[in-house]
Amino acid sequence: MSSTPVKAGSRAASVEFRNVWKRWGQVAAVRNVSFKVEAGTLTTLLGPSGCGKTTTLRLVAGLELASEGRIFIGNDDVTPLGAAERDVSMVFQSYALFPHMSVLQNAMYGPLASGASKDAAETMAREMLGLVGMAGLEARLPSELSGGQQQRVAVARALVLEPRVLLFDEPLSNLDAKLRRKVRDDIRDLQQRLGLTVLYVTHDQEEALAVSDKVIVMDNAVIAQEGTPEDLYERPRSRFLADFIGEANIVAGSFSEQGGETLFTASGVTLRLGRVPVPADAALVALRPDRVGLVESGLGPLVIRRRAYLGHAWEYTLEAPWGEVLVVAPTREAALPLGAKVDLVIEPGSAIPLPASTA
Amino acid sequence: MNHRTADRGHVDVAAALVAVAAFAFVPWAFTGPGQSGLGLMLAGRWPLPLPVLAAAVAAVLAFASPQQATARLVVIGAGLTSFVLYGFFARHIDGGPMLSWGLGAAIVFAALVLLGSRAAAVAGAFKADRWVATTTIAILASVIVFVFFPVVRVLASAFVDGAGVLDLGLAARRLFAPDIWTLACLYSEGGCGVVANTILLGLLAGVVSTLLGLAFALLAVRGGARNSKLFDAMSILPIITPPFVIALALVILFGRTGIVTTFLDDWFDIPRSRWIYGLPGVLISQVLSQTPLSYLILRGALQGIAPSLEEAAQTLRASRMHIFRTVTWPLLRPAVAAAFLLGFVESLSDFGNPLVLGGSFEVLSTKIFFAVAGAQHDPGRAAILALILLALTLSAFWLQMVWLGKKSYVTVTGKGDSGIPAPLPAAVRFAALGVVVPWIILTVVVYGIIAVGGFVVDIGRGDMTATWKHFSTGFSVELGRNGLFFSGSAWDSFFITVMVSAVAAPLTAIVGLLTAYVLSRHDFKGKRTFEFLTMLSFAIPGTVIGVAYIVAFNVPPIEITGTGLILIICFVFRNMPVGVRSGIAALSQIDKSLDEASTTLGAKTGTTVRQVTLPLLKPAIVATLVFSFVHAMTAVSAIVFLVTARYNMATAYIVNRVEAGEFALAIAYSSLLILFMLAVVLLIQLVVGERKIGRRSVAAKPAASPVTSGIGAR
Repeated sequence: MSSTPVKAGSRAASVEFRNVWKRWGQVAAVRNVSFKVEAGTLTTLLGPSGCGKTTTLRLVAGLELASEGRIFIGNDDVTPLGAAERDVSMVFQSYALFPHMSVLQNAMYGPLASGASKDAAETMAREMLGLVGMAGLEARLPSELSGGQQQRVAVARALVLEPRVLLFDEPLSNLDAKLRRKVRDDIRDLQQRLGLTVLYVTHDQEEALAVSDKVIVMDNAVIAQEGTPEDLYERPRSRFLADFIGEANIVAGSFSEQGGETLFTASGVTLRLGRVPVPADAALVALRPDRVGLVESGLGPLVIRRRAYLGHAWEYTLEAPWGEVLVVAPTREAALPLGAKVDLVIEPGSAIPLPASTA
Repeated sequence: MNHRTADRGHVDVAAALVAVAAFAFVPWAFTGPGQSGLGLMLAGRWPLPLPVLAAAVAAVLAFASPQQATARLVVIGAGLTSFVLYGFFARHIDGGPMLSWGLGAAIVFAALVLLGSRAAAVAGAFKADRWVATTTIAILASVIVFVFFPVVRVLASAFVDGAGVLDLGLAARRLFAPDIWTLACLYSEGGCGVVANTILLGLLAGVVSTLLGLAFALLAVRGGARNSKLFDAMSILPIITPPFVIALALVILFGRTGIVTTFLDDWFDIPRSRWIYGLPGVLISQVLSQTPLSYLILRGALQGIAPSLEEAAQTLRASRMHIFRTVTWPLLRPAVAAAFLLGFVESLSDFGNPLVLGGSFEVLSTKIFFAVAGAQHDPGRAAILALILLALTLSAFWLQMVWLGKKSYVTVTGKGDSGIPAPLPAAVRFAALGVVVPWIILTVVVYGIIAVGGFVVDIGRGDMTATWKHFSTGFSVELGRNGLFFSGSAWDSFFITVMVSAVAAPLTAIVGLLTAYVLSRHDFKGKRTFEFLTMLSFAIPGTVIGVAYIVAFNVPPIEITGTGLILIICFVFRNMPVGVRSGIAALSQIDKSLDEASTTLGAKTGTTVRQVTLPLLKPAIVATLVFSFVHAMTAVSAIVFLVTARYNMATAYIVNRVEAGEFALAIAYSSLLILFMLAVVLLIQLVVGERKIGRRSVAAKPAASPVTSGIGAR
């Protein structure tokens, strides 16, 4: 991408939901959701399929209207406005490029629809196509472009109008694995260079962690937790979060204190956690597989049942009194044999106490 | 980039101004003195201005407080009520003569509908989209006026006597008349009732055409590509053939003085008879026109069966016959049922063939015609018969929905299937060939008669001397003082037909595709009902529509019988479901996110439709244009009720020639029609063109869906 001077960001605006509901008959797809996306940041809506993240995005776009609550873009209450009146652009999962129009005509569509002259529209379109690296391909039809190129055209088309907010609906899902990382970085680059407000929907937690200033995790039509990527990985507040972001061994048991150290006892096995603040309602602990070490003890309560060589790491599956435990160990350490009896060594302070919840 | 516009109320005010102007200056009534609404009001028709007043008040309200809709809706509702009540009960309200609705009234009504739709959108209906609201309500209003109202009206007339008084006893006597229900043919020499005849004919036509279609489809898909090309070409024929033309050719071949009959009499002493008149003749002609359509349905289903399924069965060591019985046939069964039901319904609605060939074998559609047009002239009786026919076709459609609704196994996955279709078992292949070959010969002979018949002196009596006589009778052109003078007797009906079809086809396409767009792209309360009402005319046989139109539109407030307008309206609303279906089929292949992308780029719904949806819909537009044009040119059943000496249609003219025994002229005219339609079909394809979306271009050919789903409209 070229390094054209930045100007689009001057229009970037914040997005705010205040107690927004979206109901389809009796079913609520979005239930009492409130959040704020700061201007000029990239925020991800993350969650399993059917959690309401896409509906939330469409509510921002105005493709769905809220059943209850208010939606603000900048300082404007846009709740009753339709998509054409919101000054928000969207990059669709399928890209939704008009198949009967050339790349240039696609990019000119927005300015023309809002009454710009043909010349002005073409200037704006060419500039933005250049910005995303599509100069020279203006005359092509979408069907004559690769997936990655189509994606860039879709982004350019969305950006031509200098929208106050740019929305992405699973933009990487139609690309192959190698291209994904590059396009992901391109989007982040563009967002930071132009200072855009971007709201980004994905179900891929790694993608969300990699690109976002802030991640909003949704589950079952509500916000499960929001925060920086680091926040969510290090300090999940529920079993769902711990499980959804990264890998976690979740064990039920009870906490106790001994000599300034937190102990956790599950099915007769006591684990030393180091110093961990334990909330009153904590009844579970989440252990990240890479924050747990193994020591061959010969009489430990845990037995290695399976192991897999992943190149950079060994992945052990242990049999514990409470079920299975997954442990990831770097391959520079000596491999442990199948059937070895081991003890768990928890990296001090890495264990995450969680409330017992049904979710 | 603020594409938020301040248009609130401007459109409403403009609509009201147009309504006021129309009231003041445009003739209010369709027939009569030609005074404007204002003139009539000054002459003492005081309730006339109420709807205009309502429109004006609503517009002022819309301008003053754009976001408030309740008051507007009440005012517009009152305006519409006064409009309708005065239309139907003017005599009782102010004692003056009844007034029909003309151009002025139509404009005022349209303005009220527009204002009402916009107010409804403001009130939150139709997801607050005013374009969708206006479109949907306008379509709904016209469907109610031109489909629902006449049908209800004719059904109601079944229960009243000549003076319009409710008489259930009379209705019951009409309903249970012995000539309708008797099964005398089962146990005596007497003929069966018309219902038994109709159902018997329908069942036979359905079964025979399905079997033939199946034989064709098996040979086409599993028996080599050459077959498939020939069969595809043949399947176009019945679509552009006026329905009774085949019957005519059959008479020429097998009638008492027919070519084959004479040949058999001369050479084999087989006595001449009138066997062709009655069930056999009607059945043969219906099967001739229905078989290609069954073929299209079954061919599609056969092609949809992935060969890998049969190959899988083969690897499981099933024999060929066993595979056919356990895999191929069960997968094919839903399509067979669909083809049968279509043949059944088609036979029930058919009017042209029984009219020409029926003889004493009466079916419902012809009996309805004679109840209205014949000496007995009994609209009440026609209404009862129409009611029965409607019940039959509706139950067949209902059966189809219940029975086939969830049973289609044909899936288009887009994944390639590397399998090779299994060849037919030899026994099946020979059986299919044994049926298909004679049938092709018959078809060729029938169309040969049509092709030759116009150019010889009297093909009906075997006089094969070449002549231009028939064409010059019908289509002579003379050079008169004022240029060309079309002196042929058929020109009038030809021009009217072309004009009516040419006006009706684009209207049908517009209404049908708009409906399809609203149905497949927008969600709103009452969508199911809307869909049902728009598809309703599809299930109504043409004869019923014909009767309904003359009963409902012969008196004020809608008095358009005997005009060209009623013909156009009839075609638009009869063929509209075809446009709806092909539109829905085409739209389901166009990603909905294209619309949404356009919307998020600031385009209003109307712009999206023009810029994105319509260009992508070209194939469906062509299909609908072709289909409605061709259907309008070949329709008989509804039309025979509506034509007049001034507005005669080609098909009605030909039917009259047949009844007068002028077969050669009828055939000459028919072959000219067929050629003309072929030319127009090609022209439409040329003008509307193809849809180019990259290297693959999608040919703008009539899709299978309107062909296979739109036949009921004849």
